[in-house]
Amino acid sequence: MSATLSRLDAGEVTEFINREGDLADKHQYGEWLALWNPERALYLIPMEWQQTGPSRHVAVIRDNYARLGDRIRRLQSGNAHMQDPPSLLCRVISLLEVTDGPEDQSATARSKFVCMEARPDREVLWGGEVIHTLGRRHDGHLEMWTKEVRLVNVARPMQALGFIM
Amino acid sequence: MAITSYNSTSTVSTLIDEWVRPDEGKVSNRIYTDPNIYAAEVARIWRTTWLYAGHESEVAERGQYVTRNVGTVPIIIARSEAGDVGVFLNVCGHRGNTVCHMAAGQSKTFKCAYHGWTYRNDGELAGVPYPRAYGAGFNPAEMPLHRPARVANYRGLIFISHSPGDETIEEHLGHVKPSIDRFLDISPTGRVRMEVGSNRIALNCNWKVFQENGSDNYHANFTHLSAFVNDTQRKLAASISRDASKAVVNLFEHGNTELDFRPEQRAQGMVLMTGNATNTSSEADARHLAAVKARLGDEAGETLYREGPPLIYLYPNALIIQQDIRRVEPVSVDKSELIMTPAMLEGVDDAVNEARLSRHEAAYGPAGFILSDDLEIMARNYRSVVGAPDQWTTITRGIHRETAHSDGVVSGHVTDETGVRGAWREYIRLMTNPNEQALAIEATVTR
Repeated sequence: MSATLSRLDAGEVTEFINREGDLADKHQYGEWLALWNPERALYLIPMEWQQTGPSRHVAVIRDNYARLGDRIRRLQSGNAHMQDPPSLLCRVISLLEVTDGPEDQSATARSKFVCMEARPDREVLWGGEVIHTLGRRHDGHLEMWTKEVRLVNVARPMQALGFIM
Repeated sequence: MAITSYNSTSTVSTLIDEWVRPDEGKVSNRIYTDPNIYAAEVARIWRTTWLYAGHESEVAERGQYVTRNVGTVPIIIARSEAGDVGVFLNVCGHRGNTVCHMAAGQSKTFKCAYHGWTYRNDGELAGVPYPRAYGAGFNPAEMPLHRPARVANYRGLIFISHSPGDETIEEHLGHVKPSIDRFLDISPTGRVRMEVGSNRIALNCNWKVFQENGSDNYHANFTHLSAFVNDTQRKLAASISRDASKAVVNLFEHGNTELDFRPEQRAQGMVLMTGNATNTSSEADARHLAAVKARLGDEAGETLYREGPPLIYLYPNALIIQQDIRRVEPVSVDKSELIMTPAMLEGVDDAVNEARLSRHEAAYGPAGFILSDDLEIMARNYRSVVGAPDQWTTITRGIHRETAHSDGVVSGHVTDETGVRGAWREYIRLMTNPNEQALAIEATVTR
């Protein structure tokens, strides 16, 4: 069994996480979408991590790859009013911790972030913990399997969320 | 028009007469932005009429409770150890502190954190610390948590009113009841379960901007231009709301409305893609359909299933749409809150409810393909009316082509502002006929 990704490549994982966040800040959706593994993709902003109880809880976003594609196409259509103009974004990612992933050649990365969103009528501060699972493609590049964003303010009344968190 | 005092019935009534003119198809921008009008609305609408407060399944088990503001009043909805659902004001009878500060949970008692007064989950005061100081006449049994003046349950939907009155919820709802029934009867048991939580959304606008949007379908092909991600969906949605559509808006009693897409669906032989009845391709869907037919009969069940859920606005605070009930709550003249709760069905396979929840998440969360654009448009609407107080909105659309039915229901083309005008007439009725209690509250509302 080969060494796990985390032990080998914490620096590479860090670079990937930073690039992924930067692409989202810049609304570079095509490149951002290309980071995903289509079969495994799950982009999740859950509410239940603050909840108790056995049942599945309504999420803010729960996208598989097909719905992610729909989301991106909508944002690129020019008709998504809530991103006209696109939000100006600045996120800071910190406290990154890389551990072994669920499979060989995979890693789980936990990080904290704050993201300042400026819109014509308001500024919104988003923040929380992000849990990525990443794998390695045959060509050697890393890819995203899942991205779960645990917003600290998810239970508060939320402003429209139009960008990629 | 110089206004020096709003603390009289005549002044507010005069302003309403001046600013709200649905029969002329116009409303002053000031009606959305005036803080004194907002204070009057809290007292005369939100503390007076029937309000949707929640669903009994939110407290399915004994001891479960939820807390929230309804009509700006903090309430607790709790299921007691005896199994009854009670609604109480979340205000301690001692010095007015919050007796339960959690949003939801399970507990046999609510203990005020300030001085330890403890209430049972049926609202009774169980005891207070060091009671001898209150003297011999002190009797906790006479000091339960206060209840709203009226509480009613329509097929699991809990309604409350903060004012006493003679009108029952059934009388109040009137002809909108069969539409509510369609929302519930899509369940094989006739019951839904609000058990997966809610999205909470901040509205950057006066509550009436949301309320008007809820009975407006003229915006569908413009605000939601990007919501439909494939051509089939787009064409279907566009045809429902086009000029030649046979779909209608129905205006019921008390400003309640329904956008009824069924006439156009029937004309085209189609089902709404985003409805409950998207298809019967899976075994789970087929079992669902069979169960609905078993309860309602073959023809009625088939029709209900294929035509999908209703789109209803219950004035002033609830929108039933697709699989969801949305509740709007005023926060201040320029801010509101929207609580969106998907309803799961009893008696279906998990896959059916998974699909309902997934449709909600795609369309209606704060990042939903439909709602997020509504939020942006409503915020822009509010910013512009604030800046143009001397202008008027125009709500004349379809005013000359309404159909009055023998049962009192009025219909218009689905893109017409029949429902918007009807809601304003209910607004006038409530705002110009305040009771004594409403007037007393009005003086206390923070502007």
